[in-house]
Amino acid sequence: MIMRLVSLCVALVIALVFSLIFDGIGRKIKARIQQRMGPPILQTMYDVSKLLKTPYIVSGGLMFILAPCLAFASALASITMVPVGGITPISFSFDIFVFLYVIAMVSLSLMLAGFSVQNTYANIGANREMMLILSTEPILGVALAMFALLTKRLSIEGIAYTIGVIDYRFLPLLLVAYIILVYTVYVEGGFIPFDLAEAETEILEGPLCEYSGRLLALFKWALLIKRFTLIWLFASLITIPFVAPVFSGINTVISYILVLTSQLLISLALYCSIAANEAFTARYKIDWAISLNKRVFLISIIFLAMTAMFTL
Amino acid sequence: MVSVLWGSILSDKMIVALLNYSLILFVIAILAGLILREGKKASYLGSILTCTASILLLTIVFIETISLLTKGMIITVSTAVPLINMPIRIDGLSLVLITVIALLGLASSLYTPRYMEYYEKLAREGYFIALFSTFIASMLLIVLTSDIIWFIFMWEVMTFSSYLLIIWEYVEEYVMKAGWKYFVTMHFLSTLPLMIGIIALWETTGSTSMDVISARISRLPTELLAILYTLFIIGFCSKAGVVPIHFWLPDAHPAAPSNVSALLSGAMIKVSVYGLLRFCCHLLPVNMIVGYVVAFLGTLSLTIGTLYALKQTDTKKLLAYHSVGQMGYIWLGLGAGMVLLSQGNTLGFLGIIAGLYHLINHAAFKGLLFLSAGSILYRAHTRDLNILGGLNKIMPWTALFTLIAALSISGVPPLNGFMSKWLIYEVTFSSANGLLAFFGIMALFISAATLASFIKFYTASFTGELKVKMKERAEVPGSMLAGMGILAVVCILWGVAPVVILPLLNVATQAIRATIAWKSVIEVSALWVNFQETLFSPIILLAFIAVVFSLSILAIKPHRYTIVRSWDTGVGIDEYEYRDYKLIAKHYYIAFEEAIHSLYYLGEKLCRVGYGLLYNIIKVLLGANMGLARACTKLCRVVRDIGATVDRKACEVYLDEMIISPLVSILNALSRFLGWTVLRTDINTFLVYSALYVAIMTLIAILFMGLMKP
Repeated sequence: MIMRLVSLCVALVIALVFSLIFDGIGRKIKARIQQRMGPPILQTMYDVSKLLKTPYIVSGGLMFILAPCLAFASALASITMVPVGGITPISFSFDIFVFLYVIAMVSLSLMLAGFSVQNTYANIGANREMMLILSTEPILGVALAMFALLTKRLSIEGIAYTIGVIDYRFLPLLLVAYIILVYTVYVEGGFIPFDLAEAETEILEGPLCEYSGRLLALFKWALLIKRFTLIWLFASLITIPFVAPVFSGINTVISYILVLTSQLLISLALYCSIAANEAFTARYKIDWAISLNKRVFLISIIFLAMTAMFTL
Repeated sequence: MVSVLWGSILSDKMIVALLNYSLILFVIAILAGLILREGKKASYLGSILTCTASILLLTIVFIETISLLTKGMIITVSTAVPLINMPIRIDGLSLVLITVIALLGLASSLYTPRYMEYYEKLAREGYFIALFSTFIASMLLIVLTSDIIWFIFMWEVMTFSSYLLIIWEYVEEYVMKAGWKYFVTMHFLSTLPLMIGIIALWETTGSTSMDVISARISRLPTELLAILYTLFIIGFCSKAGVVPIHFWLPDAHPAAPSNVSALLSGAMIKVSVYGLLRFCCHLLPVNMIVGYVVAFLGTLSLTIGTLYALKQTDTKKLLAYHSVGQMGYIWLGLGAGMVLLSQGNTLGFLGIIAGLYHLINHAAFKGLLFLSAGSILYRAHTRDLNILGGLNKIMPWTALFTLIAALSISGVPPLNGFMSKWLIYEVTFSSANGLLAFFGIMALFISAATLASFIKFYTASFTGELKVKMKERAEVPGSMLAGMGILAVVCILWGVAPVVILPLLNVATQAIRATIAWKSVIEVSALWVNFQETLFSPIILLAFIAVVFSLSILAIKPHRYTIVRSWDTGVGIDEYEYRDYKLIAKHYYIAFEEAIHSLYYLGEKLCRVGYGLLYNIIKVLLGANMGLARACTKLCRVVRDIGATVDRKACEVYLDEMIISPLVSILNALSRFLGWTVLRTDINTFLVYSALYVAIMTLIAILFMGLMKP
């Protein structure tokens, strides 16, 4: 119980701090690949802390002010459901669907904010975000269904622990499930080439176009936490089944710290490779993104059918 | 003393008394409406009566819930309605439907009197109330009766009264067309199959009582069971607007006044779910193929219905398509439950619970959404989302209630829509059945489409600059807000505190006749919902979000602000251009709609299949009917000739007018009402009725011959 309470605090602190640091690292990597110096690693943190000191102007109704707060609250709520260092924090649920819906509330706030202001750029951004979610959701569903069929579990913790003891015949299918999950994390995280909603140069950051000061800081932070949480989830699905058993013999506290560190390192590695990939690609047009997602969905359905047949 | 009082409240006598009083109130409302005929007084009086009756019904539900939570079981009641001697029985399943009907009855009764001012030109408020009350009472009696003949009788009363309510605005041509479509479809694809099925049940088991039938059902041959399943699925699914027999619903529901649409979408189509459960899972045993068919039809409906809804820009049409879609979720839950139960998996009970949970949730939020659409219509006099906008400045409460309902239906935790959808995902994904898991994926995807559609609904009508010109720039009257407010509170309550409703749904599954023994599969406490190894606490989620939310409100240090014009990238646009500086409803999600055009094509084809089926049936029947009509004409001529002969030879007779005249005036009032309904429905209605009669008689004859043979 104490460990779970500690996990809750660790999860919240890590989400608040590392979401900003990871973004800084990502910016640095992109800059170096593109032969630039790039900003310092803590630059995103400086940006947010400066923005948090400046006042804001309002160009919408009450929704305009409440949306960033809701986004921030749901982003933090979602991270409490992911295991930290092999132990799930105290939370309201461990269920994967609850996780999905809570993290989707960040996008929901973004879209409500974007659609409710009298500004075409913000509207277009929100519109793109919604279409991207619409086309990604079925793929995410396939990934979850594959995990559910392979492990017969539906909680994040349960899936992660069962993967460790899964029948070796299912390993290729499991690998496919992981790949599909990474793909959806990539798209839902809004990394280039899927950064259609907040396309800075094209539609003035879309839904964030009208935001300024503290509200902007909160919104940006929430979006970064959401990204971080998605990657953190993936890292925990790798750490618990494959890394945690290595440290199982040692003292609880030490093994907890070791597992936590490895989870952080895996997240960082994933984030760095995503950042490197971002440096090489350019933003898709929305219809390209949708049609790519459509094709991925159709292919993933074949793998789902295979999984259903093999696990029968 | 207290325990005695408590005991007398928690007894079946109390429930019977409450039920009888509420039925009496409905009857009084009908009579009052017929006598007063016109004027606001009739409208107000009738609403008060139906409102009180609904509150009495809700008290029954309350008493049963208390009994369930304290004693662990509900009070089962078997009695008969006085005077007409109609046998009724209240068990868990009917209790769920009573909840829905009473709740929607209450909300739309509150909403009715002021809203009907919108239809002031049509007058006859009394008749409206009479029909409205008949409609609610007939739905109530359908779910209460334990006699299959009363069931089909009340089914027909419900269909006919709802038809008259749908065509209330009879001066509009599209309303008459929509009503006509509804009327014909219901009679040939719902009443007809049901009647044949019910008569076959009666013939083969020799009884009309549901209890006797369910005891004797095992004697029936498998072929007959298959036919019965098919008839009941067609009959109930067409009433519920399941694809491919959904083509009537998106026309009929928007055509009705909004308070009626709320009842249609909120309660009436749920009654058909009750019918399917009662007939295919209670009277007849649970069957795997039926389960797969229901789950498949559900997935088809939720996909096609919601994706069509995504394209709509008419408020009520959008909601009506969503009714098709959300009913799909209910069917999916029930179908998955049936499949799993027939395989001996107790998870199946959870599937049934999930379906029923979505049923009551859908009643709450869809009722609320239709009332919101009504409020928009009441003030802005339009249903077109493209020209609406900025209403939240004028109607803040309506905006808030609409937002709650919109978030509920899109499944945002911890509101009620999320809870039931979540249970449906849990059942389908953990069923270890690839097909059901695929259905679950479609449900997950469509949940996103629902969100998309309702973000459009809310933001296009309520946010941005006010575009539409309004006569009266004010919030809707308090009684209308009260009707909506009740449903909004319920949306939150059933989501945050499932303990008030889930135990009831759990008990309702006892009515299912499965091969495995009933087992409670879900544990609900004030904090947690727990089944298998999954647990979720909506209250803690709400608390967590509330805390972080308030902290972040503190962090942004709210200061006084004036709403500034949004940034026009320095172009300097004028007022008129600024008003259109926002995406209009028809431009939402175009790229996505283009990407899935093949699904729209499929929907179009399926619609044609359903329509073609109906068209051919009617063509054949009307042919037979014309022959009958000719024969009747000849018969009439003969009768007329005889009458003329008698007339010439008869002498005059005088009767005491003092006795006869009161009788005549009563008959006169009755015939005036009937005549008015006839004028409203035109001669085609009677043609269809006679065609239906021919069809039923022919099929019954065939059935009799078929059954006599062995």
